[in-house]
Amino acid sequence: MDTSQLLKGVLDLAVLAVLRDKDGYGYDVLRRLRHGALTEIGDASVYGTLRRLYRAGLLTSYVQPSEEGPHRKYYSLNELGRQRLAESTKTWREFAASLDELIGESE
Amino acid sequence: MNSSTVDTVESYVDALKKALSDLPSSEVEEILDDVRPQLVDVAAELPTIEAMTERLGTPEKYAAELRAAAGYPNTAATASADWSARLAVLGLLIGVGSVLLGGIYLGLVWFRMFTRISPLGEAERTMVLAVIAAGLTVLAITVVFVRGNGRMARIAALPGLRRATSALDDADHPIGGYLRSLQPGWWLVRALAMVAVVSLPVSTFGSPVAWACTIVLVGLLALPGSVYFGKRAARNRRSPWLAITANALIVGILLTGVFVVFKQASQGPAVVYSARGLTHDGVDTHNLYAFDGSGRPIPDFYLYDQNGKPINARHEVCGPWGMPKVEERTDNRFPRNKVTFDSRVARSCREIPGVPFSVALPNSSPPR
Repeated sequence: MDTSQLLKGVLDLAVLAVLRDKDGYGYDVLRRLRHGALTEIGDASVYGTLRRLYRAGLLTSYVQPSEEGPHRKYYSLNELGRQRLAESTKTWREFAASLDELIGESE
Repeated sequence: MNSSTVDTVESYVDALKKALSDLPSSEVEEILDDVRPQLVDVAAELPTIEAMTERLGTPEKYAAELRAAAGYPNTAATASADWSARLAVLGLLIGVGSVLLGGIYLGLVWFRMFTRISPLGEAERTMVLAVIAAGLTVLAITVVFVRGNGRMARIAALPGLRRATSALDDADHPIGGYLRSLQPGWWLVRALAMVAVVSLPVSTFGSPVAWACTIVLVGLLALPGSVYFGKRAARNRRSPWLAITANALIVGILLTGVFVVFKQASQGPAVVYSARGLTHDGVDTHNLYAFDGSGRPIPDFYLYDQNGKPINARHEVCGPWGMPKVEERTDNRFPRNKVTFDSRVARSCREIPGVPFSVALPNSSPPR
C-alpha cells in the first residue's frame, strides 16, 4: 500500500504533533517529521499544510532573526491548535484501534 | 553562501513566485519565508538549478503540491472557471433583470384590468415582451449550464461574490449587518404586496365586506409563507438564485403597484387616462347632447367624423361601491345616462336619463 496516500489524511495531525512541545520554522517542522520516520511526505506538502493550519487559526507565527542567514518565521500551537490536536489524537486512536481489531480478526 | 548558490535559490524562488502568482502577494511572501531556508540548504549542497530541480522537482510541480496541501484553488481550474463563472453570473443577472421587467409587465397587465392605467401601445408591448423573452432565454441557458457539477461552487468562489456573501453573513459588517436587519421588513413588505395584488379585483367588483375578508385571508396565508420562504432561503445558501429571481418578480410587481398608486393619487378618481375613446379639449368625454335648430334636444343620435368613421366614446357608469367607473366598451350612440357623484357622500353615484339642461341657441338662421 502506498504510504503517501495514507499520510495525506493524517498530515495535519502529524504537523500539529511535532509543534506540540516546541515551536519551529517550516524547515524545522519538515525535519522533525522526517526524523519521526515520515519520509514519504513531500516537502511542499508540509509547507502547504503549515499554511493551511495557520489560515485555519490553529497556529500562530512570529519572526525571529537568525544568526546564520535571513530571519526565520516560527510557528507555534495556539489554544485552538491544542484543542484540535487533542480531538484528532482521540479520533486517530479510536480509528487505529478499530482497524487493528479488524485486521487482527481477518488474520 | 556564495553568489552562485544565491542565484540558484533566487531563480527557483522566482519560478515558484510565478507559479503562485494568482495568490495574494502577502500569502506568497509567507510561503517563501517558510520554503527559503530549505532551498538555501539544498543549494549549498547542490549549487546548480538542474541538480536542485532533480532533488525538489520542478518549481511548477512543487507549487502544485504546495497548493494542493494548502487548499488553495488550482490555477488551471480557476483560470477556466473564472471566465465561465463570470459569464454565468452575467447570464443570471440578465435573467434576474428580465424577470424584474416581467414583474413590471405582469403588474401593468394585472392593474390595468381593474384600474384606469394607460395601456402600452402595440409596438411598445411587442418590444417589452421581446426583451423579457430574450432575458428569460438567457436565464434558462445559464441555469442549465450552472446546474452542472460543482459550477455553482465555482461561481460562489468568485472573489467579488465571496466578499459580498461573507459581508452578508457577518452580522457585524457595517453594510451586510444593516441589510440583514432589513430582511424581516422585506418579508413583511412582500406579504403586503401579495395582499394588495390579490385583493385589488375584489375591491373593484366585490362588496367592502368581501374585500376586508380577502385582505385578512390572504394576509393570514401570505405573511407566514413569506417568513417561511425567507428563512428557508437564508439557510439554503447553495442555490440563492431561485430566491433572488422570485424576489425580482415581486419587486417588479411592487414597482408597478407604487406607480399605479401615485398615478391614481395624482389624477383623482374622476379623470380617465386613456389612449382610447373621445377627448374634448384634452378632457375625456363620455357623453354628448345634441339640439336641433329650434333648440329641442335630439333624443337618439349617432356620430360620425368627416370620413364616415364612428366617433366612439367610452361609457361612464355607476360601478360597485357606488363609485363612477369608466368602462372599456365604446360606441357612437348618444346621449347616455348622466353620471353624478358626490365624493363626500358614500354610494352617491346616480345614473340620470334624459337631457339635464336646455340651451338658448344663438339667434341665427338654421344652416342650409
